[in-house]
Amino acid sequence: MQLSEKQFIELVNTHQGIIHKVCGMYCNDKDNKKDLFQEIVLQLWRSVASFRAEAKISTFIYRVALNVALSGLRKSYRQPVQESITENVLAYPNDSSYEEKSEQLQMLNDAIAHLSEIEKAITLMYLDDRSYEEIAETMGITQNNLRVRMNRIREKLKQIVKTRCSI
Amino acid sequence: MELENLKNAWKDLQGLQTNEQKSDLEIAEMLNNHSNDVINKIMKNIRMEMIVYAICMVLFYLPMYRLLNNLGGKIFMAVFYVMCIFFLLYYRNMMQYLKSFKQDASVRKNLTALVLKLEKFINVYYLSNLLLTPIVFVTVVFILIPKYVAEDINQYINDNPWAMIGMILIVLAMVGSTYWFIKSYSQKIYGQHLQKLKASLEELEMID
Repeated sequence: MQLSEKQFIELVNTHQGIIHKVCGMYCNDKDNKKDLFQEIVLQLWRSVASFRAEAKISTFIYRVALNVALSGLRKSYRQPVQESITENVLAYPNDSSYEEKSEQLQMLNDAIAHLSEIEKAITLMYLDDRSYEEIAETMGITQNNLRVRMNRIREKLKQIVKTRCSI
Repeated sequence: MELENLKNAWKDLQGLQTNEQKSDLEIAEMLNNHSNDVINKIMKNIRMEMIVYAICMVLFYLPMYRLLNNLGGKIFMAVFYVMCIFFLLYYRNMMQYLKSFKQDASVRKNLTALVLKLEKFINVYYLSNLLLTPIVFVTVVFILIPKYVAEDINQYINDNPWAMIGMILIVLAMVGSTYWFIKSYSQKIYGQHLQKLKASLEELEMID
């Protein structure tokens, strides 16, 4: 897909939610998030010409973003995500339904922080309602393999939450 | 806590991230900045090494070629130059490959390619430095020192077998310490990162 700079900026603008989510999952502070966001945008710009129109652009963006995050050289990309999530959770209005949601999210993110890099990538796409086909294609594994992994991740998260609740 | 039930709460995060939205101008500025990813870091190092090798070849070995009048010396220098050209060609090919490296394959393919590239790069790094160390040492001891410092050192080494053994031991010690230094250096720069990449790749390949 050949895009002009203007068209590419529009594309990033439309789909920047995906990039923000990946940055939030793998970075622990604003500076690292900003660096990773920029790196993803640069890699997308380099790679967009190889995108085939028959595939979903969101899958393509996920693939590039996760590759950049997983192969990043900076150690800080790999820190737990608590700070960014806490910031977001604090941004919820002071209302009981939000409080409940924020508690759930906080618990979820605390648990996700204990997952491996690969498990985080799978969980991120799963929570974002991506199909098994899309997740498997992005990760380069079979759908059966993905199902096995998803079961393990669910069990692992349950175990982490259970352990935390019992403390 | 069921993962399925948390999908909605997770989606709300997207709404909360609106204050982080980048403007068109910010995105345009990002396109003009330099990349700091692992590939570019390797490329920077390769470029630096190529410059160092090129400077060494021109400043150090080119004038020395004139000093070597005998056939053995000329063959030695020719071998050295062939090696340098081999490494320069390798670095050039590596750079071309890395320049064209795009992170748009699946995570598994991307990790596999990165692990292979990093391993190859580290191996050539060891090899080039291991081979160059004794060459530099022999050049200094048998060519530069006899020419400018002690003219009779070659005669002394030839007449004294212990001196020859000592020289060989020094060369071996230098090769060993260079190997150790290069290993620690590359381990510090790429080793830990390579281990992380390998661990992620192994995890992906575990069930398949």
